Amino acid sequence: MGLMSILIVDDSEDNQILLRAILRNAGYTEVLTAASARDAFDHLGMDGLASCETGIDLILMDIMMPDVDGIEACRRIKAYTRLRDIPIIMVTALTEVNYIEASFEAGAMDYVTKPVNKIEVLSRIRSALSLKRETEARKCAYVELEEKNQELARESLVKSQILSTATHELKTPLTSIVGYAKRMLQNQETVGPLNERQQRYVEAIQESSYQLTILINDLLDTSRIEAGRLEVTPTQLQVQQKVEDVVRAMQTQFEEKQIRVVLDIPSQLCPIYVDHDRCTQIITNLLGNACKYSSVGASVTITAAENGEFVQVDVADTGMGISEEDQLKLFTKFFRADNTATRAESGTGLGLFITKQLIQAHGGAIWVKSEVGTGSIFSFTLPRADVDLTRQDMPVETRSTGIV
Amino acid sequence: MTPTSGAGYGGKILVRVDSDIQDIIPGFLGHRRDDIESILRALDHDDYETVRFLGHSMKGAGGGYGFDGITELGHSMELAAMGQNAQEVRKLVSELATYLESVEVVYE
Repeated sequence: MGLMSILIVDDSEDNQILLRAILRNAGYTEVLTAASARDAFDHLGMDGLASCETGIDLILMDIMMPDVDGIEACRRIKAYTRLRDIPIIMVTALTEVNYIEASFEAGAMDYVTKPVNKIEVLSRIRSALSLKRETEARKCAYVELEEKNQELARESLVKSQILSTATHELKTPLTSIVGYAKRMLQNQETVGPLNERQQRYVEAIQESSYQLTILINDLLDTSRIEAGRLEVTPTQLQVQQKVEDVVRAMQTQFEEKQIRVVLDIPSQLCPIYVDHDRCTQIITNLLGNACKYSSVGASVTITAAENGEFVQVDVADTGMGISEEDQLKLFTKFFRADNTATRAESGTGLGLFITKQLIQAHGGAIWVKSEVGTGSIFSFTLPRADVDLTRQDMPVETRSTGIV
Repeated sequence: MTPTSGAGYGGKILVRVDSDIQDIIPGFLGHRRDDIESILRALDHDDYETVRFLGHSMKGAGGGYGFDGITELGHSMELAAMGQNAQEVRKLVSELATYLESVEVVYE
């Protein structure tokens, strides 16, 4: 308490003396006095270019003063950023209560009436100082938080850059593996025939490198999303055709688990406006998940229908379902359902995260309805191509903060 | 036995003052005696502004030191000065002088 410095601004010497005595008796030994507003401004270093701390923790300001009055003085002090947080308590005669509203508007924290009551003055001062201490503590915490935030942002950027570089470096040798495996399988007349075992081995290499390609592309997409550089180039597309194409491409996968795929898509369904390759990616991801989490012999149903300005596609499975707790984390990075049966299967945990970003990049939405033991329905919307006639085939960039 | 009421007892006006501020009381009362001189001088020059200022100051400070009587006198003096009523001012100055002579401070 003795470290708190108080400035008394009052043109009446008697008041200065009285207040100083009251403060001194309460333990406030650091008391400065000013007989006018201009004197006060000097104490506060307002005329100079002082950027250092004034060391004044509170001001008791008389309202009625010649030249610059207390309210104007308060206003001017509050205009200075470095002085703005000094609490100002106005001292006003009872007959001047009209000025109280103006005082608060000028930035005063409180007021006491003259003739001063010792207990009232001390209580107001104590509460003003404790509020100031709290405000300062909060400001410090905020500054610390800001700094931590910036540090984290920097680290995140570095990580993204590392990710981006690494994935580019990985792609080159991978392209080699994929290329040679393909040539060995498909160009046997020129490269040389493969015996049965060799054929199986090279197919296994091909399958693995295909998985690796998906993984690297997922990582690349993720780093692009985090950097806000995911680009999609939407054009018109017929849903039915695209779904049929993807199902055909995934035929082997479905056959392995004897999964039946049912399509319920009206032929007259309006076209949608979507990046073709990304649409393949989205549907492949959702169908892949449906297959992965379904048991042998199950069925997966794909329906599509118009929904306002969008087309909604539902991918329904009768698989193991998703708990409510997991549903909340489903679309986050690296999330994978905790299940020993599927853990062994491949998957980065990035599929749904990227799928969601892609859909949102088109202005659509994705959500899930699911029940453990019953199955899941993943639904997503993409904009209709026939609604906005002014739409052009232009690349659309995502704005992503990297926060999911 | 200490009288508990204010004016009138043996011509003395009893004022109870916080012993905490004992040291500044003599100075305050001394300033009021100075004020009497200043006010009379100001009246000679028709300087009502000075009278008003001194009355206003007295009004603001008096009660804080424990002298409600001085706050009241100061208030009346301020009004009289604003009305440029010299006669009233002189009357109040005389009351102030009497007050200062009769006042007895009890520290507690």
